[in-house]
Amino acid sequence: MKKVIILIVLLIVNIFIFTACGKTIEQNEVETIEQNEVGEEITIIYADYPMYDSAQSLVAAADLVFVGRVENITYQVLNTKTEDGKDSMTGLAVADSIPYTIYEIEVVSVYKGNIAGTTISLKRPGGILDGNECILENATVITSENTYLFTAATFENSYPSFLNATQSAYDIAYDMKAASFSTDEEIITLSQILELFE
Amino acid sequence: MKKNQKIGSLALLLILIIGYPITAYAADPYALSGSESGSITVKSYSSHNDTWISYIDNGIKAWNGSTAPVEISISSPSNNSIQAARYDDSWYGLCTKSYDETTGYITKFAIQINARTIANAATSFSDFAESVIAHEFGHVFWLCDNPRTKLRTLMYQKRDRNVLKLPQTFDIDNVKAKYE
Repeated sequence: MKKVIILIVLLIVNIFIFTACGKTIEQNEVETIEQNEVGEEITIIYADYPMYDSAQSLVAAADLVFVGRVENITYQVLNTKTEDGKDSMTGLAVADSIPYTIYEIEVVSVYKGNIAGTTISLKRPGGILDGNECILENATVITSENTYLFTAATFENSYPSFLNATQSAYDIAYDMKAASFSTDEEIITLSQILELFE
Repeated sequence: MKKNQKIGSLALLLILIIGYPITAYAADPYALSGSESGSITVKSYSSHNDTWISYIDNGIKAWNGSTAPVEISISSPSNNSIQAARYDDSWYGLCTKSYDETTGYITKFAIQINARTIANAATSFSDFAESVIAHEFGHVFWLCDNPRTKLRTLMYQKRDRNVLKLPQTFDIDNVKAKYE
């Protein structure tokens, strides 16, 4: 019986504590919103990309598969419309430019495709537009001075592109470890890709 | 004694339920940003050829004709745009949204559709293009990519774009929950 009484007392105390906390949080939220009626403007890019079910399909779709070290990261606003003037498929003559991040990469080894020279630049949407950062949603984080395996598509008149935002860059140091215990069939691992070239 | 144990267990359960701090975050199936209202405008896209105008029309009708409380209309002074062309990139579609960090409300958006990649991948070109267009408008209505559900959804990036081109019940219900 004592236990029951203790539990009921605890219940009542609990209700008081959380009711009080709830009010404090609500008041703070209201004050915060009133103080910052207009918040900072943020730009985010959602990209509908082809997604790949296996390492085989990913590699088959890639023009380039290579390992390289990211030397530098810069931002450019690019007009990636394939044709100058009227687009032959859609009729659109003038297209808006898109903010991109350019990854300058020192090539370590090439598994598929041809890369002239020892460095290559890859582009991915997201970067700086009108002084504001534009973030590509859900994209793999790529940092300078790290080495990755990349899968990319090439274009005649533009930098090569990542095949998609999530399955195109594999951190060599991290993914070699991750691959050994990954059981998620949805995830393509670095070792699955490398196995294709053994 | 057993009765006391039952009362004790019930009391403990109540403590856990009432005491558990409930916090609402913008999360799957929602993005952090979206249109404040279900009624949105987009600039005229008449600079495209008739074929693509009809694809964009149908992508818009996919939402306007659904039971979701939304309406996309064309307005010349709109901040929002949709353009389709062949682009030197691997994406099918982009939706670039600028939004107020405090409210999450979109201040402007730009949708770009890549006819090049669609032509390479599609078995039914018009359906594929319309699927990509409708998907991008889904982002304007707060929907995120790849929601964690086993239900059919327009927002899944592994969907068969040749077939799945309309907002599904899951998508419509989520948009309804935002605007109704």
